Amino acid sequence: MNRMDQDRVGDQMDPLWAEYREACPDAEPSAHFMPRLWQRIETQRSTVASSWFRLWAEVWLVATVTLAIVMGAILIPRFQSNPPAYLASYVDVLAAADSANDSFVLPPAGETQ
Amino acid sequence: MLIEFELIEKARSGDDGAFNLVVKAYRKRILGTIARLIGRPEDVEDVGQEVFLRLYYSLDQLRAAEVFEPWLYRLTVNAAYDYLRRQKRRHESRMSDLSEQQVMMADASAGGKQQAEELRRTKVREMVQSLLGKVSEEDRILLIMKEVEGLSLKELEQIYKVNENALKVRLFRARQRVLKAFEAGEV
Repeated sequence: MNRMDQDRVGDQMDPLWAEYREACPDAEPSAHFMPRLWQRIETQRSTVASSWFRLWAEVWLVATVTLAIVMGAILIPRFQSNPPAYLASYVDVLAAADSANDSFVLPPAGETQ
Repeated sequence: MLIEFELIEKARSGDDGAFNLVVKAYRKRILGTIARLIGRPEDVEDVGQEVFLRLYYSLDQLRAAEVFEPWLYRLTVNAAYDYLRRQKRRHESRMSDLSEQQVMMADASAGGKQQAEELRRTKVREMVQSLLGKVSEEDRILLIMKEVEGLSLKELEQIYKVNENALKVRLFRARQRVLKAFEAGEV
């Protein structure tokens, strides 16, 4: 770029920039500036905290559902291929054992002798 | 630097009291810069709070206390740029607002040296804002940071993270565009 062009631009605009600087001095902030700033910081902080909590909750929910699906996928076929060892109910087993021991049952009193 | 590095370090480590002192030390300067960048006094504090809010949540990313000021200026430039883009989207006519303000001020003032001085300042503000309206938001901010805030090319390099030559070219083009509008009397 041309050095003379730069100087020309600078010469014409510099006084205007200086006047603008003077016309816009640094202003004192209002009394509400700091309280409002801290209010915004606190609001942002609680928003960030709640979004983190929501994220964690979502992560845990996804992990739980995934674990349930994986456990189901592993355990259900295993149960289907190996039928349970006991097919009869507890009452059936007890009745069967009872009938097998019938010979050892003592006759009612009076029938002996 | 307006404050000790130690205070920045304390604020960085989460000391809210230290952060409060940092804000108090810089708020006047930053609000002044924002006022000159956006040209709307009623929104200056809001943008200023946005700058310090961003500072609060980004202090832990600051590499060293020595680069605090360029960092703060970078946040200021970004917040002003975001504001100007939002304003552009809203299609608000900045100049018509300023003119109304000026007319109201002129009506209210019954004469006197102080009022005349204030009117002259308002005219200067209006004229520069109008000229800056001829360039993009990026160039407007760059021009003000260089010409009005008086930042050096070295400081601008730190803020914009681009090399000096690229900045020079961009500044030259922006200056030319503004000068062209100035000479053409488009204000």
